[in-house]
Amino acid sequence: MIRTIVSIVISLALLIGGCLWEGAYIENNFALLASTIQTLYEKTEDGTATHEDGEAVEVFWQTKKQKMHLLLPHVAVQQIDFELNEALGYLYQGNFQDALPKMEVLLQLTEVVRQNYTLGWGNVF
Amino acid sequence: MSIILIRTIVVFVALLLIMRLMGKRQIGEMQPYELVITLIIADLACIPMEDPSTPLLYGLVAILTVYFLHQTVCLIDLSFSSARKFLSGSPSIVLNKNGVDDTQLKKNNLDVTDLIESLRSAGYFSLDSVEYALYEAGGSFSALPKKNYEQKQNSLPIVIINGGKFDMKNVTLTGKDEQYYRSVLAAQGCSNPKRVLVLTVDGEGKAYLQEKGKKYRVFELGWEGLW
Repeated sequence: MIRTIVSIVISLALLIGGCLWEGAYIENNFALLASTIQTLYEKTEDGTATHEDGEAVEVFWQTKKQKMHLLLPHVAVQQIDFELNEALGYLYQGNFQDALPKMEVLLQLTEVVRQNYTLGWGNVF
Repeated sequence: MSIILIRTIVVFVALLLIMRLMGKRQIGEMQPYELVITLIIADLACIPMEDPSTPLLYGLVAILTVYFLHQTVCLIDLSFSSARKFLSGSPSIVLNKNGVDDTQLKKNNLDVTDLIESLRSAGYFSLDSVEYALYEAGGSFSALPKKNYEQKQNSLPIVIINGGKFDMKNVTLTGKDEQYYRSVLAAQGCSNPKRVLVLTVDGEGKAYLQEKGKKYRVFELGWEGLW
């Protein structure tokens, strides 16, 4: 009986802890990613974005990507990867006009992914 | 391929651990919720194992959730008898000293033929050879035989009427016709065959008759050694 209660408490703690950590991790990191992309977007809009600015966003995403693969379906991570590469490709070429729509898609994606993996009726059912 | 190999190893180890923690009952005789868990857990293990686009963590979290549910249900099952009745069900006495309990059979989606089949599997060939017969909560069948029950089953009984309907194939097998059995019923004070829950006869001419809502009767038909 005691062993059963202990196992229930431990498994419940692991599950709740895991859920809270996952929710917070995705929320924080996607908020951070969205703010870096927003900064890059504003600089691109002004025409002041540099190669280094693009690299900073790329490095940030690459460091977060590994852990994101543990938590998100790999397709969602690949989609962000694809859009970011396209946006940075245009940026590195100095093609700011084509880079801007790609960054808008990225900003939208960060919002969608956050919403898709938060607890809610729509996501549960 | 190497990814699938590693994923398979991880899921296998996780499942093995969970099965060991759940105990031997999970493998042997199962309660309904245990069967449900066994059915679910197989799918939970397979999907993340074979689909590389799904994080393995999804499968592991689901398996841990199932373990948590199993332990919680076990605790409730052991602590509260009313909850146990709900979760695991209770035994159904389908045959008692009055004969077949039709209500209990219907509750379990069974009929007299199923009961006779279970009795035969348990080694009792005649309905009047047992005092009590019941289906346990787990679905297994138990019967308490009467004293000298072997003497009551000299020949294989066959069902002539089941739930008010004649089994014409069996009627023909006995070498009689429907009219003959109608007259037998009339002689026993039962004019309407639809009111008969079960009528069986064996090769020695022993008949077992039970009308719906009444106690069973055993009587001789006056033939011997037909089969």
